[in-house]
Amino acid sequence: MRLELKHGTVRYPTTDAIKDVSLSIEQGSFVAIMGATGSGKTTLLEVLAGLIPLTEGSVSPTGFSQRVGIVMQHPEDQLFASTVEEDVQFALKRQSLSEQERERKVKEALDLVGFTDMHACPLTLSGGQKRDVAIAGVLVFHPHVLLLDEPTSGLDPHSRTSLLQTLAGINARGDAIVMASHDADAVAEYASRLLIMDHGKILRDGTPSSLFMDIEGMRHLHLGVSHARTIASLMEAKGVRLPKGIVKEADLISALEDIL
Amino acid sequence: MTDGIFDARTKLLCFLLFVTAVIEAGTLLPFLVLVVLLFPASRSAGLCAHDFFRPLASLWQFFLLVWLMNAFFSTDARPLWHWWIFNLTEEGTIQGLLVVLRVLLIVEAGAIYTASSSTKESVGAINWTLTPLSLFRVPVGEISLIIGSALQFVPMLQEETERIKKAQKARGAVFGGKNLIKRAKSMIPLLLPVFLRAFSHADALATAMEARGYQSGGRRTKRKHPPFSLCDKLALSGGMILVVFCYLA
Repeated sequence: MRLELKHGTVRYPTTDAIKDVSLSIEQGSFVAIMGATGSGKTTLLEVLAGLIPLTEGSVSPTGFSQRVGIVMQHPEDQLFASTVEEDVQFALKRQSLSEQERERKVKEALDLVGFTDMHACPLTLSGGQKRDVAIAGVLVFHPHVLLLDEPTSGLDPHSRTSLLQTLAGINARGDAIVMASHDADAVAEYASRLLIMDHGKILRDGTPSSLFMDIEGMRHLHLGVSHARTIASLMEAKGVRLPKGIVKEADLISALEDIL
Repeated sequence: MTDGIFDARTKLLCFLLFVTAVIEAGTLLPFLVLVVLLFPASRSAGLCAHDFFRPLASLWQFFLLVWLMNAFFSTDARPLWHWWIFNLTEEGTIQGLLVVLRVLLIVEAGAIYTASSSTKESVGAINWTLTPLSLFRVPVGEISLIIGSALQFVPMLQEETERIKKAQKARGAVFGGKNLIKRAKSMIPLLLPVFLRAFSHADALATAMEARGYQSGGRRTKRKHPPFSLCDKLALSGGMILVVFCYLA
């Protein structure tokens, strides 16, 4: 499945949230979107999910479809049911499924995020667990493209790593992931494509390893690069010769092991 | 009533005088004067025609019900039409129209007041207006703080509702529908998270206030209000004349 936006503009009375944005998301890709606060990342995701209409341009598929799932920022705020099972199966209510089929889908979605206690009350869970359950509530209808708005914000390191590995697993089974994030380490580690947004426009489109090379340019846009890229650049400035394009932690460790 | 020309206290007092005039009005002439006065006031408050007529459009069922209740349940001995418990009378019809007109005028005046005053201004004006009550040991500071906090929560709750609505729609939720019970049920996934967020925000606000040394009943400094300008005095005088006119007419 391919998600395509052509010349998309969303106009508000005082400003344009996104301006003439064209973009296509291929099946199985892992795309990250970075941009300063107010650059239009959330609006772009909501447009792609069919949640808000375009002022100009077109998006395909049109309107809300369960083929495209979106996990909004702080999705744990949307939990309302008395059990995890009930909350996760909320999205299946409009589908005519048997009880067994419904249970199977709920269990499958919860397995994907690594959560087992179906009868727990969602409101008593920890922040990371709540987010896992909320994400399972979107995964349960098996979207082919999963859009996520700042999925790692506010999570402890363990929950963050666990969530990113879940996303990598979903991506590995062929579904596309589009993630708006300020987490440059996560972007470097998992994304195969990076879009940089500024004032409602896509300024740059490339791989994290190519775009993170321009540390000054990223800083100018109020963005950071991965820690591995920062350390590599400092070492290069001190005359240490490292392989080109280091942005991931594992690559940096491997390069250091070769030197030492 | 534009922000900057009149003091916030003047706007609040003018609103209260207008409400008093509406209550006092009993014949056609004062109602006509009150209706005519609303147009320049709404224009100077920056309300467009759409905002001005919105209360009428959104509350028309309520207004119709109020009119029907008055028109058909009057106890006048000379009904125009009678059937079972329904008693359509001339007196009830006119009374119903007056009640509807009064509510509509107050709603419109409230819309104009809120459009022309910021939350901060309103809280300051309410605090100043209630100050004399402190002589009778009424906790004026606390009342103003409660009103101010409640008003500040309105845009936050609107934003939260919109955000959670989008999140639930993304899971396939459909809000509304023709069946009333289904419609009420469909609101649960929206209302429950919004209430939880509101309580959580209120708790965070209370903790933050206590952390900054807030104590109930403690003496706090107040903003010093400048004296009323000539425009303010003219507006207040006009408001008082309006009340007297509506009472006498």
